[in-house]
Amino acid sequence: MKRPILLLVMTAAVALFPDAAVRSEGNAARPAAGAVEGVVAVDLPEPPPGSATRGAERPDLRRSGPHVVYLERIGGELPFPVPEAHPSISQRDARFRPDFLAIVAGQTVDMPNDDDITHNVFSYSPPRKFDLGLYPKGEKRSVTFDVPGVVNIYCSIHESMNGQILVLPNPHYAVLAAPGRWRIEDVPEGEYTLRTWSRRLPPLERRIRVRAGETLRQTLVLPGRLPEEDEE
Amino acid sequence: MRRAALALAGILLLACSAPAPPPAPPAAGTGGIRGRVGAKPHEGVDAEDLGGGGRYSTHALRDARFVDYDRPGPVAVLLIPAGESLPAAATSSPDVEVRARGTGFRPALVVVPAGGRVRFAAEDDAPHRAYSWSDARPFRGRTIAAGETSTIRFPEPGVVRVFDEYDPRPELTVIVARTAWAAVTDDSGEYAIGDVPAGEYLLRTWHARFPPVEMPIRVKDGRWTRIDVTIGVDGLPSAAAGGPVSAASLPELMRSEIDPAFTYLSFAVHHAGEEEIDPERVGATARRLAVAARGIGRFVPPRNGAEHSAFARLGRELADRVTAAAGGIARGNRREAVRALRLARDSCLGCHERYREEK
Repeated sequence: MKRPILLLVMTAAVALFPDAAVRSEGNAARPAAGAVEGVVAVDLPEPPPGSATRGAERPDLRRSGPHVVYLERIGGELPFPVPEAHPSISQRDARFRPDFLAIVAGQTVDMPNDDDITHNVFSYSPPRKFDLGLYPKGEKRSVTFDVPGVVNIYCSIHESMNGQILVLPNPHYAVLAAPGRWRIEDVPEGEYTLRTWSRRLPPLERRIRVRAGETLRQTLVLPGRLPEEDEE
Repeated sequence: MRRAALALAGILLLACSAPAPPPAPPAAGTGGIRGRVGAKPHEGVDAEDLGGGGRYSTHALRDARFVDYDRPGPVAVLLIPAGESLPAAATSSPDVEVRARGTGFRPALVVVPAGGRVRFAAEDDAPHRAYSWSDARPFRGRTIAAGETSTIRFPEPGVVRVFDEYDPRPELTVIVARTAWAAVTDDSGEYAIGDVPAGEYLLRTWHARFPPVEMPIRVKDGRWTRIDVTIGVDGLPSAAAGGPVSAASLPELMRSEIDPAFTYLSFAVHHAGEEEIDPERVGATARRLAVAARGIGRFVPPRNGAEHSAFARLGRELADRVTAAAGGIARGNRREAVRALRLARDSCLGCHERYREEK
């Protein structure tokens, strides 16, 4: 019964946000910049009966996140000021909190130990390999991420401590806790690849052109193409 | 009744996983590699405390689990041939069975030779549906309920992460190996890979949380060779240092690293590309680069095939420079060898970069 409702919502989203450029009114962006906005929707069927009886904390792909919508400039990124703020991933109750973070290349992440026990943070992901060593309560160590990509982080002492940092190539991105609306402002005009990144759903990509003073609308329906098959 | 049957199956399983008798000697022309994969904690961490895993008694830390360094969990061990031509892909490997249940896929790590299949079998009353969006094999299987199965073929080598659409928390990793010479460690950390043509290989590990270990090894004709491997966080740079990685698009960086050419390149960059070459250890560095050059030589397109590929050009250049370094060592001319190795290292880094761009 939920599926027709989801379809209805998606149809409404498509009607409200046709994939076409429209003049935005009262645009406050710089002359050479435009905006991109839209909706991330997840089109998956209702799980069959029986699966819903298990744990209440079971993530539902149709409602969970995070989803990141971001842009990659075709022909190379323009220089941009790296945000000075240091986002933080705390070690608390033997968990990384938050366990997912999206940042911009060049940004530094603080990793304070807010537990009473010793922790460690390490990664061997290609964009940034590091080992912060062992450190006690109250101590804070930091890492700068210069190369875009996905960095998986772990604690060498606790199996339950796993996190992910998505390093993006420029500040033109939006993070969604669940499927829904997004908007990216202040995008210098030009050609971009619009991409999505989700923890458990395939990425989408689409070539777009951002025009100065205009808002481009895009509806992104996940999971995109996943060939259905079976050899029996 | 069912419980009794399960208990019996459990006992049989235990009996089967008891220490295996020494394997039969391999056939002529082939050999075997076996050993144990262990894990080493940070210096300063008491391995005794961490052995056996375990939990804290405080309420706030009730979900915290120690990494069990005695039993770090399943590790895939792959042998990537160096020097010789690749044998034909396995045509008829048996299907690998994975059981789907509420607590996750079992086993959680399997190795399949390229072209092989995984059969998913539902084990509890809930419906399951396997799917993946990994580059090496995006797919969405059939919905299966108790007693039903769904079979998926994995044609391309790579690391494929599989989720259950109806309960995406637990995850299955399918390592699709280019060759059939691969194994996953058992509960006690032991692995055995038999029927391997004698020769030179690169051994590579895959573990869900620890970095891969790569080491050149030799499969000896007609016998088993024991190779114990230690995984852990040793060798990762401190926070201040960075790795020699160039910017690439996100999907590029997320692509599998099981690809043999890339594996040889990372191996070479890791061992010989990051630091200044130590004249005292010139021989060791040359040997590592030689392994890399042979591996790259095997996987770059032939000279007349893709003349315009910068990767292929740099690969051949690397091979030539390593040969020059080896010549220098043979003649006892250390300065000449170091100079050639520095040039080889440049080709190696160039190769690494071009590989990302061209692949």
